[in-house]
Amino acid sequence: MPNQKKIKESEFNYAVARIRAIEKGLLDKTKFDRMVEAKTPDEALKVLLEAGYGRTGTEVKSVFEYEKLLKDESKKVYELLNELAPGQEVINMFLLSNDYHNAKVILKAEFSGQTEGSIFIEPGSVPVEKLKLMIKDRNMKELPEIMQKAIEECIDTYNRTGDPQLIDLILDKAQYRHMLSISGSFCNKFINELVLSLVDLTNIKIFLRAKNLNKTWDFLQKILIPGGSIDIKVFFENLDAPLENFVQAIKYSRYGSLLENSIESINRTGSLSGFEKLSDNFITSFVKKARYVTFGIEPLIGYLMAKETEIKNARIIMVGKINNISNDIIRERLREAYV
Amino acid sequence: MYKIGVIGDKDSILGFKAIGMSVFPVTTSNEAEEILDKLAREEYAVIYITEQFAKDIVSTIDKYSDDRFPAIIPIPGNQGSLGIGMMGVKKNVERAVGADILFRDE
Repeated sequence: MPNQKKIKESEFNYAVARIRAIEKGLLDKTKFDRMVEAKTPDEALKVLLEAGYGRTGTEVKSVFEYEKLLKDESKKVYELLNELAPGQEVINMFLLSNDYHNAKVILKAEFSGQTEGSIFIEPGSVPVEKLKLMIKDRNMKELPEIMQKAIEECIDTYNRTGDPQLIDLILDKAQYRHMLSISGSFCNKFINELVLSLVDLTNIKIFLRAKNLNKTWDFLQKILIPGGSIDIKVFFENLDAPLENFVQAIKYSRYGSLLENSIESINRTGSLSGFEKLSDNFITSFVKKARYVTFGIEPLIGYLMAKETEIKNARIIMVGKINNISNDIIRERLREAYV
Repeated sequence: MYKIGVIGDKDSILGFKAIGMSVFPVTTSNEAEEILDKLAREEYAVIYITEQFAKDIVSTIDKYSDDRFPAIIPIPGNQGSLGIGMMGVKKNVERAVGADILFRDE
């Protein structure tokens, strides 16, 4: 690709040193075990507080406010990384999914005449309040071009069709297109491959869901994300065939063993939660490579993804504890940790 | 237009939002009581409440049992059913037709 930006490794010396030190504080298997074994939700929460979750001033009055703690923790991670990284573009790329989610919320609230409530996901690369204002005034010049075009398309399409599902379709697709365009602008194999994997895994998930719902190719074609490494033809040819055929078709790609391992649970339960867990593990084992990179942006991204997984695991445990889910089931749902 | 409200612990009731009901997550029975009284004064025709909370605020629920609105209906939460909802149905059937025509065999 022309004009790819190169990431200067030497600019990351300080950042990597800091990350290596902070990485030691990631929750490891023993800590998660302690959370899972906790007798009460409060006890599990205590492990998080001990690990320094949240920031000074985060007040958690009852265990039901654990989400506030997780939200603050996630904000803290992005603030730290944005402070450490010489450029913000790559780090913010991982916030795009939040931005697009927030845009969906704002648009749907407007079209249905409701208030948005508390369903925004923060942090975003664009602050929610700002995004709200820009969409309200229909003045989105400051947004990245892909996002701006997508939101305009949503407004136009909704006004013509009145179908709110199209908002999801347009924005979800735009989000990945946006990520691909940012990752493609950098000459860095790690980032390129990571984003490509995210797109591929999403496409596989879309395919499996559409298949579950007996959707037609017409529908599937509209939602698959272009630009992934799996040929769209593979999806087309296997939509009406047994699932085994699809697994066979991508057996020799890097997702072969992932699919082979998930098919059993899909066939048994009809649910994709097993596949989702294994996809997360796939990404974790990919970013684990970053631990052997001495200088560069990779350790930062590794830490970011590790932290995202950690917060996800913390949420799984807290929800499980509050709802009296058995320890075995919680453990089955936990994602592999980075450390 | 009348609305449908759902009261209970967050993880049990959030799904109702997807089908257009108004959900009110609560964590204590005091909170549940307050919300219930508030909703009863507003335009709610039906209020679902999880049995876990319903069992602690029976007196508040009974207050509304002779009113036309709202109909307060206990539903099982994610911890399984306590049988309160079914008991209520049974009681109401008995009151309406004079005999238990639904569950006599049990």
